[in-house]
Amino acid sequence: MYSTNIRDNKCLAECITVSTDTNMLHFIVDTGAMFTCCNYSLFDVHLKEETIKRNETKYLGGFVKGFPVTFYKYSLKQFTIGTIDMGEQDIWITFDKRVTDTVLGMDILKQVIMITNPYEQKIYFCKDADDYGRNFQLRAR
Amino acid sequence: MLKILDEKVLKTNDEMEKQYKDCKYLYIIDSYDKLTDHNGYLYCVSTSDDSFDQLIDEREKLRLRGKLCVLGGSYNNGGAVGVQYEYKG
Repeated sequence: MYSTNIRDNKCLAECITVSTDTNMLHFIVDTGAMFTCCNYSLFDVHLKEETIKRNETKYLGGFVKGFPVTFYKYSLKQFTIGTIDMGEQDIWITFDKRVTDTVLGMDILKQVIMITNPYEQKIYFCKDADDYGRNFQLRAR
Repeated sequence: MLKILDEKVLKTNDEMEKQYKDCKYLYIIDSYDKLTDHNGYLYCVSTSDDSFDQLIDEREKLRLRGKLCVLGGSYNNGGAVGVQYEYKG
């Protein structure tokens, strides 16, 4: 189980991405986002766009005002949300320099149990029913 | 602009977010286990996307020195410009 605070009406999850390199970064938890997205340099600074041009592509809005941005599907060897190992995961990466935010979307979030505790202003993530049963307890102040 | 701070005092994520609103930053942690302690040693702050590449360079330099660092923050207060949607035109 992993928990993180709700601060200024948003929630940041500390995640680990493993591809060629291992990187740790904060992702914005966004249940309104369909896809998990970030700039390629945040997890593999050596990656070249030419090498993944044939990967599945999406054009996503909501990052740059008025313009869709090109994202490529990229397979990570491992992705963790806090202490929760999600194993291999696909994320969507862009080479557009205007995009620097990191979004944790429903493509990954739907794979975990997510609980908002309004009393503590925290969000809890549980890997599965066992994790939830063993570790989660609602604390109401 | 990129500011190298190399702080030696532990700071919480909340403190970093509050002190450096609309900035991205790098902080160092002692081990992977410490990632979920929600704190670290603030190493540098990028105050705008003009210095985003420099921030990445600093992360790579820290990696070569064997330091574990976490990249946090946002130039846009954590929210893009709107709801994410797929353009199918």
